[in-house]
Amino acid sequence: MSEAPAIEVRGLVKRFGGFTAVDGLDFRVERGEIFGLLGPNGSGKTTTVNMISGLSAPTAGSVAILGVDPLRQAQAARRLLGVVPQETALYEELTAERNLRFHAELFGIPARERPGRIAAMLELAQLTDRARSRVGTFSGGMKRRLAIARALLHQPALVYLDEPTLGVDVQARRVIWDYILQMKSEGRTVLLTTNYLEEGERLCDRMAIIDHGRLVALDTPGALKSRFGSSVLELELEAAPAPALVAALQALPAVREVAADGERLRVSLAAGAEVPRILAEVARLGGSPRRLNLREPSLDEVFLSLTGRGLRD
Amino acid sequence: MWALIKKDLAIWVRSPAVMAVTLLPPLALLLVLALQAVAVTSYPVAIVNEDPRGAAAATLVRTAEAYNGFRTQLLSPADAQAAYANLQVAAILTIPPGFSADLAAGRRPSLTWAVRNFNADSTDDLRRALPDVVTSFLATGAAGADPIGIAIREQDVHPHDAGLVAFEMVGMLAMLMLQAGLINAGLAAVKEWETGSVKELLISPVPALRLIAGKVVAGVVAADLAGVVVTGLTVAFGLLPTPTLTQGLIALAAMTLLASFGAGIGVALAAALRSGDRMNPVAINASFYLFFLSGGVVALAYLPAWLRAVARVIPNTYAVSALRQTLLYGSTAGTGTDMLWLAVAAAVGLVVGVPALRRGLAH
Amino acid sequence: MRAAWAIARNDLAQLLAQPVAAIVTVAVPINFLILFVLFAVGGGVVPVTVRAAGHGPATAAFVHALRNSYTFDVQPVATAAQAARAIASQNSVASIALPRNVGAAHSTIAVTIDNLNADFADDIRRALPLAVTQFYRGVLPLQWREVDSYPATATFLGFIAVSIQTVALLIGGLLQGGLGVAREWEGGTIKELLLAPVPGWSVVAGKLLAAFLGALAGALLVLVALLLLGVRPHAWAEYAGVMVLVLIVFACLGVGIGSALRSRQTVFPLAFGVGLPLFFISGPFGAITWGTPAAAWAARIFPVVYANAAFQHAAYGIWTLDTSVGASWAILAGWTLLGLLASVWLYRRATVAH
Repeated sequence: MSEAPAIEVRGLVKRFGGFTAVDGLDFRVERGEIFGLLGPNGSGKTTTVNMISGLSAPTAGSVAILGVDPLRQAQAARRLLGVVPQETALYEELTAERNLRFHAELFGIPARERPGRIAAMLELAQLTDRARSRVGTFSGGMKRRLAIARALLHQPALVYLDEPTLGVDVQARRVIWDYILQMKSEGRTVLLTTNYLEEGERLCDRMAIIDHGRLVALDTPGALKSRFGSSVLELELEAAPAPALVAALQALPAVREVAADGERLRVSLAAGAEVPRILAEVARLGGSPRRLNLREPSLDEVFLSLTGRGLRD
Repeated sequence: MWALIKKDLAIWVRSPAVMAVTLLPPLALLLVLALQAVAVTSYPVAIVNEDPRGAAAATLVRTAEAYNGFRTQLLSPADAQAAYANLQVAAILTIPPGFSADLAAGRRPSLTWAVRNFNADSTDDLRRALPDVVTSFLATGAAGADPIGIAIREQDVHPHDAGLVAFEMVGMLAMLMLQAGLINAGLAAVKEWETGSVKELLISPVPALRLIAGKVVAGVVAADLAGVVVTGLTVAFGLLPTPTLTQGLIALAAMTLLASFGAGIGVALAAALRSGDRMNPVAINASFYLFFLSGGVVALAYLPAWLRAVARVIPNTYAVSALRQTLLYGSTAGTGTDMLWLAVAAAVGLVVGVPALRRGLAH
Repeated sequence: MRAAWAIARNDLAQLLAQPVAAIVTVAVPINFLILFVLFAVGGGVVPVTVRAAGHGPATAAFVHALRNSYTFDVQPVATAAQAARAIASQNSVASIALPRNVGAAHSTIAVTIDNLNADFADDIRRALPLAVTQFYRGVLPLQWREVDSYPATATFLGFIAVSIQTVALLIGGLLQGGLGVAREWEGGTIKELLLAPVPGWSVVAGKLLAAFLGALAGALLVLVALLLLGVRPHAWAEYAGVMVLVLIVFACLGVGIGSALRSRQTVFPLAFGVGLPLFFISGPFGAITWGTPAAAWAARIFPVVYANAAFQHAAYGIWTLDTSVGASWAILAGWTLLGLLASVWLYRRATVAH
């Protein structure tokens, strides 16, 4: 077990009747990394995580967390795992402190350790002064912080966060990001699902992109971006470009892809592309740029190019 | 205004749960009473005739068999005891040996009436039954000249006896109307808080009073629809006679007024409770209590005096009275007073409910 | 078991955190009792006015016979107008006019009946011959002797009270069990339980314990009310035994229903929808064998009828069922086992997505 990766998924398949939600997934999450699962709604992301946490039985294939089978050794696996569900799953009628106490009881934390740990977690969530308030009176950000504190209460080796910043304002989002980075610094492994690419870039060591239940790509955020091109040249012309211009640009060396949208042109470039030469070609074929912009590619574009659709489709 | 009513009605039609909550309790009660009504009217009784050759005994057996409060079986003493022991029959009527001869000789033979006295109610039914059979038996002349000189001349208030199920049905119709008004209008109001759409309503240029009126009218119209459907079904099944146009209109007016009272109370509760979870049990309980307190299960006269006094201030009582008169007894007599009280109740309900919701919305 | 205890305490804490909802659900069974008390006071005695033209001993004897006919609450009136008013104002349902020569040959008693329905009217029509035969009892050519099965007769209210106790346990158990589980699903907190390192059966055990205690509170409330109404169980241990067993059965079924439906709004009408018909078909007013056979057979499928019989036995020492005492207890025990299995099975089925 000491050598086992944090998560190992092999040939994972899940079918619901005739529908295949997860279709042969293979990946490993190493210990101590922050691993992101990215995919549009209905891509099989949630089903995968349900199988990892032992809530759902795979149709075929296997899952192990730190070498433990989450179904057959469910109790051992659940002790290793801390979960922050998207809907927070807090008892709204009870106080913050009572919610944490219940979790401590469920996870068999010895009675003498409970008060200390609960206090520490309330402190971490910056909810010490609201410990005796009903959760129903909390804001979305406070609930999310409390759910994180609860997941960490039993000191899990692996923490799973489901869309941790969905519906949370910008400030609260930064606080949550800090928590996640802190978990990593404490040596925990973090698995998170997200639809925010910025979040994935900021936090994740590696990201897996899932679509239609299959693994489309798995790499560091930087490597994923460079697959799309090392940079993107955006041009706004005086008039819509002629098809000949688009074709000519496409034929240039180190040009990955050209997309035209009205007067705009988007050219994704591989490393070593010569921007002056591209601009010269544009001028030669009658295009006159009004504005130009050279930037890094976004994960949105990576995703679109990999799956042929946007994240929120 | 019409837009609001239409919106709330459309929501009602698309919420099967709300429709179920309003319609199910009265329908369940009705089913139960229909089942029960078959059973309570007669008891299984064994007859043991130890004077098999006697003419008078034979007449007595026939009289008992024809009695509408009994379902009789003529059994041997052993079979009767067995049936009595395992509760297949509630009582045994034993005609002693030599009954006919003793009767003819004036020796006053004695019948034995074994009664399973589980409780006072069923036991009294059986205690009443035997003298009734004996009276009929004496009237046949089989025991010689009938010594009973008293004739009973009966005059009924209503031309026909209504059925027990139909009688209860009308009470339940009133409960349904009150409950439908309460829940429909109440839930429609509560929904605004639950979905947060109350904000949208508040910033709309429509005055609050009109918003509330929309909910109340939609609630009452939905209740009326439910009431008309239930009444129509009951008439179609032959439980109630077909009312004349006037009777039908008076009944509809009574239902509308009661539902309006309910809607008024409903929006007041909504303003106070602001959640469907709290609203539902309170509304269901309230309409149940009002149903029983208004003599819905029995008639007012059977209730103790204090309860009769309570019933007289509950609008249900007047709705039940008007509905029974028109739908059950096919008459309109006395419905004017009922309608007057109902109109007062509806006005009171709205005067309480509308300002309460208005204040609630303003906060 | 440690986890079960934590879950039960957590549920009770939630119940106490919402006092209004707690009171409403715990008090639901007591509402039932109040409603049936009204029903019982209504069904018992028929209020009639009696207007006697004479004042002789025959008149007195006949009025006495009326009072002893197990039926009438006699209100004497002086005039026909008073009698008519009493009916019109719904203070009586019949008026009886006794002639001066009551009891003499060919005397006629005039009765006006407010025949609200056939059932009520028949009670009056049957009671009048009873009064007449009482009046003539000494001169009739035959007599009769009543032999009762038991030395004492329970009151109507006392008898149906037992069935109300059962239905209180049924509704309380179904509601508390069902709402407790449905609440977890509606609030999403079921995840907290599913992801905890505790076996499924201990979650079910915790839910059952909380439902049991919540419903017990309601049932004890009903019991206190019954004691106030004068019901005095003969055999307390038996009474408590039935109570516990029946409560387990329905708390289990409640947990099962809650797992299957996952919505509080459907648990509420379902508990009533099941409770009311079962109350009526399971012999609340007498033996089920005296009623319609179809209803009796339907009643035998469910545990309510056996619980009623065992309660009647504990309360009055009477046995109201044609199934023997031993077999009835065995059936109740079987239902308890079935309930436990069903609750665990339904909970598992709802939580493990295969």
